[in-house]
Amino acid sequence: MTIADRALFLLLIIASCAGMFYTREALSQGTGVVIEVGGKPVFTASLAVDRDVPIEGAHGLAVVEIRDGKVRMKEAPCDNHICMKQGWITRGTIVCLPNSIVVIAGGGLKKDVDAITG
Amino acid sequence: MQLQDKRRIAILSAYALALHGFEALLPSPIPWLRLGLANIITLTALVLFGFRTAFTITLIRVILGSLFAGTFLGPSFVLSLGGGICGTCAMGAMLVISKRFFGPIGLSLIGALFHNIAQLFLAYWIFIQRIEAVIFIAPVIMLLGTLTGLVNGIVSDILIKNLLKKEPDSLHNVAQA
Repeated sequence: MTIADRALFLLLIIASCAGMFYTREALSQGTGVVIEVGGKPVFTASLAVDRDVPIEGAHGLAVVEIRDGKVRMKEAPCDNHICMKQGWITRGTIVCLPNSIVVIAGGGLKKDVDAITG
Repeated sequence: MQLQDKRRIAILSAYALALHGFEALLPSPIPWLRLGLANIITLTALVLFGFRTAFTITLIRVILGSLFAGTFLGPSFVLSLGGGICGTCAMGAMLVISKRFFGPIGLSLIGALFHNIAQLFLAYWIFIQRIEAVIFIAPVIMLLGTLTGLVNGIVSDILIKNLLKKEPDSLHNVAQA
């Protein structure tokens, strides 16, 4: 193993690890949240903006809270509150079945990359 | 091309095909991950017998390998062919350009890298056409390729050294190492 071999190996390892962090960072930037009522999207936003979203479901008013890139069901008019017990998520779905509200996080709003070099 | 070369190519291609088939039998944690064991033969041939021999072996290995596996002219054949040609050409070019710098291990890393670049490009261009998916997977593939390339390079290095030690006479006129 020559010095150049070692240098090349280290370079490739560092470059690929850096690339992994970079792509994860770049792709998670654009993730958003979609809220559906009865299968129809009624609200779409980025996870980057903190806010409370009131959603009119089948049984009344629910509140979805977006904070620090995470989302949770803050209030729901249903009895068992399974959706509220699920807590904060960054990726995946929260389903409030009685209210027919579905919160989908981590999808949508993906930014396209302008260009790639190298 | 002399008879000696043809015989050499035939034997080396058979080795490469055997490794190619053997590695398909190994259980793999990730379905698309391949170790690229056949590249050991390509690299050894490149260093000992030159670019033409290595390139011919790669072509024979990819085409016959896909015929045996029943994937000839299918998607995996296209990826395999593109990766094989690009990787072998990159290693050949690197051997000519910087023979003093890189040993077999460095060449193997270069080969693995360009093999993966060619496959990612082909996969994007022909099959996936979703740039974010390709960008997301590229560093992972690059890391895995570097690790398997290192292992293959070490094996090739040992193989080349032993061949030169054991048969210095028959390899004397062609050996460049």
